[in-house]
Amino acid sequence: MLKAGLKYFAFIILRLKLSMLNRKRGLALIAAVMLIVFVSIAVLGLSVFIVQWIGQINADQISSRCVYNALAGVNYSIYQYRNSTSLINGTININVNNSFRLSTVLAGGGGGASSAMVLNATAARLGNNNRRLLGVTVRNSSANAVTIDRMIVSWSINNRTMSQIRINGNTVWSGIMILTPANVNITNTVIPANTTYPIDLIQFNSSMIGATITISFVMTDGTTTSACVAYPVQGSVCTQPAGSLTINSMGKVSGSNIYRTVSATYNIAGNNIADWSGINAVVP
Amino acid sequence: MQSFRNKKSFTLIELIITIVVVGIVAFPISITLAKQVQSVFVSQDYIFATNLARLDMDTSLNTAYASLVSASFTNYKGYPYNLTRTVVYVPPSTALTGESLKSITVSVTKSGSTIILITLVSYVAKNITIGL
Repeated sequence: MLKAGLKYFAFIILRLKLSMLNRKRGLALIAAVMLIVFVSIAVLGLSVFIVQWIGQINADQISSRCVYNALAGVNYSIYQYRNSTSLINGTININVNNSFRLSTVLAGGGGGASSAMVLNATAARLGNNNRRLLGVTVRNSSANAVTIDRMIVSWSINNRTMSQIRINGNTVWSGIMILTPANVNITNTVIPANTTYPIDLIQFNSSMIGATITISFVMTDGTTTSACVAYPVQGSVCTQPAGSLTINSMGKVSGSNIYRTVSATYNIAGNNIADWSGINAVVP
Repeated sequence: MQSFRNKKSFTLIELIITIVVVGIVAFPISITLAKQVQSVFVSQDYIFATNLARLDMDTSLNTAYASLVSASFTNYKGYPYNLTRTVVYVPPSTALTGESLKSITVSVTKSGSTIILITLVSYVAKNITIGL
């Protein structure tokens, strides 16, 4: 359509030009009209290019905002889980323009050597002026010995510190008082097959009443098993956490159909985001 | 006198018509062109502002939780852009369990202007580390 119009326009101009040339008048007008046509085409082309360029910049800005919105979702999900062990799904508004949509899944246990370990915190209690966690046991339920390499202990009262861990009569770690989360390299502890060891004590500097304490064992093969004690009194045990959370968070900006999704793996025992990356998926 | 009536020369009417036509057409074209040129410079500001906002946001997300505070920078990193970082607790701040969440908002303006070129927002949870 445009092409036909241009052809017709060129034909008219040519006829007019020939007519005026014959009369040798209107040359300036013809030249001016032709100049205007060329300039108009150039300006039109430039305008289209610039409009597309600006559109690209705008899309890039929205994309950046979506990524950070998605990361906000990851942190929000972890915060909620640490706060109340609840999994958050659905859309959350950050403010009027920004939101994220979450899909959070609790992954299974650690596998490997850790799958043979049974941490029992049902008899957990506090002693020594509520500064010691007592009564937790760990059982190797397999037919082979397993070795505990590290322990990760975290608790919900941040200004408390930990100073000692004793398992089966042996102090496997002691040292400077460290804050939560305490990732400590204990003396390697071998638990024979089908044997239960008591975790004699975990020593803190002050009262742990009101705290939620999570204990994790890291085996020499790198796998992890955990137990969680809530408000440690006899028989008050919170849900034993699994190995990790898989969080898919889709960042959105209002008024745009652009989205970015981040998939993150949160290691519950280690309290860290083990991995995160952008994925090309829509969180339903 | 005959030479002044040479048919090859421009007539006054021709010139007037030409000037009028060029004037009528050139006016909207020049306005359009000026706007486009202006938008090129503005878009460069947006690109710069976006990159600076990303830089500060990434830096903030890798800052220790307790050290993450609000701040304002004039000529951020030596560039003619002002950056404002606002850090607030996301309610409810549950002091009971010791967990909390901070909201980070990073806005960038051109120096000497109040027009916000970009605003990024994100959350960061307490005591979360990234990496194995």
